[in-house]
Amino acid sequence: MAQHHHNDNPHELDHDPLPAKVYVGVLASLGLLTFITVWIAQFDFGVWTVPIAMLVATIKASLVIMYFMNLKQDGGMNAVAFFAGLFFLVIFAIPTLWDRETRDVLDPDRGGVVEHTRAGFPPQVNGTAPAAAEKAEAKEVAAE
Amino acid sequence: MSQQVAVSPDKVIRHRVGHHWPHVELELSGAKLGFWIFLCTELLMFGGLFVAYTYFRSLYPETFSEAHKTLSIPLGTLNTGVLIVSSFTVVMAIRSAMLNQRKAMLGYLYATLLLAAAFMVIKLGFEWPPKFAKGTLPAAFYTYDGLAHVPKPHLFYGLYFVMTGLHGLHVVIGMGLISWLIYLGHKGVLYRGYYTPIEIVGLYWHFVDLIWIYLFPLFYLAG
Repeated sequence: MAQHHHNDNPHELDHDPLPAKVYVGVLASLGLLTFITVWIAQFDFGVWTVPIAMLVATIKASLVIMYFMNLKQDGGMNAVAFFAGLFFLVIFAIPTLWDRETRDVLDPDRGGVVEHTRAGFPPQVNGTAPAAAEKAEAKEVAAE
Repeated sequence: MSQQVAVSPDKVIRHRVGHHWPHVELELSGAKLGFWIFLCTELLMFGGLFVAYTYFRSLYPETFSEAHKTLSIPLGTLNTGVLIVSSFTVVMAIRSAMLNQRKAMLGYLYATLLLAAAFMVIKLGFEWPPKFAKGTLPAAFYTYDGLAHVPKPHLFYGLYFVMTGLHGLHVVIGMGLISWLIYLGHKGVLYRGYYTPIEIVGLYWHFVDLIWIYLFPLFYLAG
């Protein structure tokens, strides 16, 4: 517990909340940041579009975590647990995306092309499957 | 005491700490730590989907920048506002409980429930039906022909429906949890001496808000 709070009653909590204006301030900031993120969406920052949007989202997320979820006050093991989870996610994300972004280096011919689906599946998306196309043709020929 | 604490509400069931806890403060901090660890598993579940999003987006950037235009920014923004305000009403409910203001606490909890319902109505009532009608759906259900000029647009809708759908499921579960808090509030269990359940459901609800804070720009805005 980061809060050193003396309480002689073992059965009932006895804390004073943060002033309401803290929460109103966080709410107003979140509203303002939402407005900013929607407003800047109309501009094209090229490769920076997503990083900028993620930066604004992360500022919003930090406000929620620190004040609404009270991690700033509670801290301690709660913060360790949360940042450990975040760290595991980074271990998952970085090598995966590293692999994706360096494929061109390893295989200049195919580069970043990754085929994850066979031709014709899902229907209507990649055109008709070769086998189905042949069948349809055969039907047309038969009808004639 | 820095702030005005109302006198104990008339009908309060005073909390007695579980026999396995030496002190109520440990009960609260233990519950919080346990829930933060649960939130880590949630973070990793959604995290996997966010990595999938990033991966496919890097494969087909033009698909994502075209397909995202079919989502409604006004409805997405409205839902963002709804969730942010509902996070605020939850912290205000905790604050009211800490000040023994039971009526205000219940008011904030009802407001939270209403906002959660509004989120689902906007999502299921206004956002999804046109997509079902147009056929902008995942995988083999995809029948829309307006995005023929970009490769594999069904991928965008697969990620959209799975990620916002899983998020929506969390909102529905949250509505159940908030209803439970309202029940406890009426029963007279929640007051200055005991508000651990609101704290924990609050953590859950803010996490649901957190996920939406990232889903909104990734799907609706960032082209």
